[in-house]
Amino acid sequence: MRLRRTMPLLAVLLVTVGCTSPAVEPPGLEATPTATPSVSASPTPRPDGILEESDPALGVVLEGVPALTGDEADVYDTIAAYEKEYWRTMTTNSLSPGFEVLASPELQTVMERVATNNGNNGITVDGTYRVSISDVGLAGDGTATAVVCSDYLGATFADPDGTYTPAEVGFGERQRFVVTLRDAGPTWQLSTSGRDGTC
Amino acid sequence: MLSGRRLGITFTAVLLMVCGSALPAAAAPVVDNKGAEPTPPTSGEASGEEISAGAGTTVDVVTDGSTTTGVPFSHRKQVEVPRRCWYGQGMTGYSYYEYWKLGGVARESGTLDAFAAQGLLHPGYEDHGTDTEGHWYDAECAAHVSGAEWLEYRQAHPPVYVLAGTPAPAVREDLDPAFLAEVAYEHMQLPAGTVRWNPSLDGTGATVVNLETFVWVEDSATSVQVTASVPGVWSRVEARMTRLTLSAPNAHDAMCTDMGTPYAAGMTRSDCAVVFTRSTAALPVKDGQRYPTATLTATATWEATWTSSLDATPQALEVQTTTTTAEVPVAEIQTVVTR
Repeated sequence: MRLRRTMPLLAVLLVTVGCTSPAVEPPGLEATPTATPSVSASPTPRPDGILEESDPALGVVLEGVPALTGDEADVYDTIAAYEKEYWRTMTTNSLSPGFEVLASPELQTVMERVATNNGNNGITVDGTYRVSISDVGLAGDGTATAVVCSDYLGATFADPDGTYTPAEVGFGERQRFVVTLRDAGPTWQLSTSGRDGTC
Repeated sequence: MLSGRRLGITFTAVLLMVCGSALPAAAAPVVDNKGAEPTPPTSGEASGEEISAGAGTTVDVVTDGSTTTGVPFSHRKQVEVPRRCWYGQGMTGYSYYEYWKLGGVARESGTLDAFAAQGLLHPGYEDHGTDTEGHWYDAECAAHVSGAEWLEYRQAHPPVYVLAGTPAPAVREDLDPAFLAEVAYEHMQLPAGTVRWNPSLDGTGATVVNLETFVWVEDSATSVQVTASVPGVWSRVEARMTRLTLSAPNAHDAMCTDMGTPYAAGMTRSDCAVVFTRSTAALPVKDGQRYPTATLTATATWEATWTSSLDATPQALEVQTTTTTAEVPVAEIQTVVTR
């Protein structure tokens, strides 16, 4: 399955390399960028197995990581990356650019609304977000589903009037979400995410 | 007086302290979260559980034809349909670069780092790394669009960088011609026409029992052309009426191949006729009527094919029906009626 995913990417890269001017700093740019362009001569195929790990600095803990390979691992990774960018959005009140790759336009709209509303209300979120992803299933028609359990008990919530426990702001239970994804060749993307009670 | 004032001030201060301690804690804020109920929809957004990605696509639907009396008609309406794929405004050049550059936030994610390592970032994104005003425009497809279609659309619509002050790329909606044809067929606007009949007794308009009642639908249409279009693609439906079914209580159903023939003096036969077997005299008078009536329903069946700007081969659509009704008084008379 990974080979199938990698082949189209090579074609994309060849076109890209053929059409892109050499990565030379344009004149007049002084501050940034200074990093080396990321497009390399040979694309790096994704290694098999799950790539995503907990991110302590961000405050995201991935729990109960299953042993998956192939497309199931890709699906898991996409969801895990999405959850990280979700928490980044929650803690910064700014829409994560990663959603452009990881989420459908509809979900991007939801997350943009979340960031805007919380930001306008002066809400700050911090602390630890624990998430477990399970029941990864491939439908065989280019779609997949999974269950996400979101645990906010280690998170903190505040607004200009004070601080609040997770329970006080409605985050006191492990929230269960059913997510659907679509396979668009080189990437999976979350199509929908619906609340489905508690875990 | 002075003492009294001091006492009063002190009392007030104590009162404030007491009241302050008695105040309830501040109400917990509403923290918006994923999976929360969507905010009430605004114009162009879906309602209920559906979450819109923004305004829908406006489809222009034009219905052309002529009535049974030869009067041409043309109706135009605009229909809002859910978007499928489009160019959407993305990040500024600066934001994109900062997020995706080596050492950027995206690279902390194994998934996103692998995405970048596969050469999938916007070509030349480094060139816009300091531009905080220009934006990338990316191909986007709504959640209901399959991944395969999304991939195909993306390959046909590569990312475009638009400098501030320059026009955004034209929104090239990618609507399936078959879907456009369905929109056209669903929204074709037919003149309803008016059901007429004969005999139609002077004063009451009543027909009579046990005699053929000739029926026709005046100022209706038997063929139309409906075109649904968005910039870049159109689908056209050719629809024609293939039969008219007449039904009414206490009358045998009848079927005609056209909208019936308007009665003319001396006419003794019509292919579009029903025979009422009972008078309506004993029935209650319906709202808006002066006499007891039977409801005569004329149901037109339409068959249609469609073509598009991309394929001139006609393809069949499902049969559709339209209905027109009339309230017909039915009288029972003892004399022989001569038309």
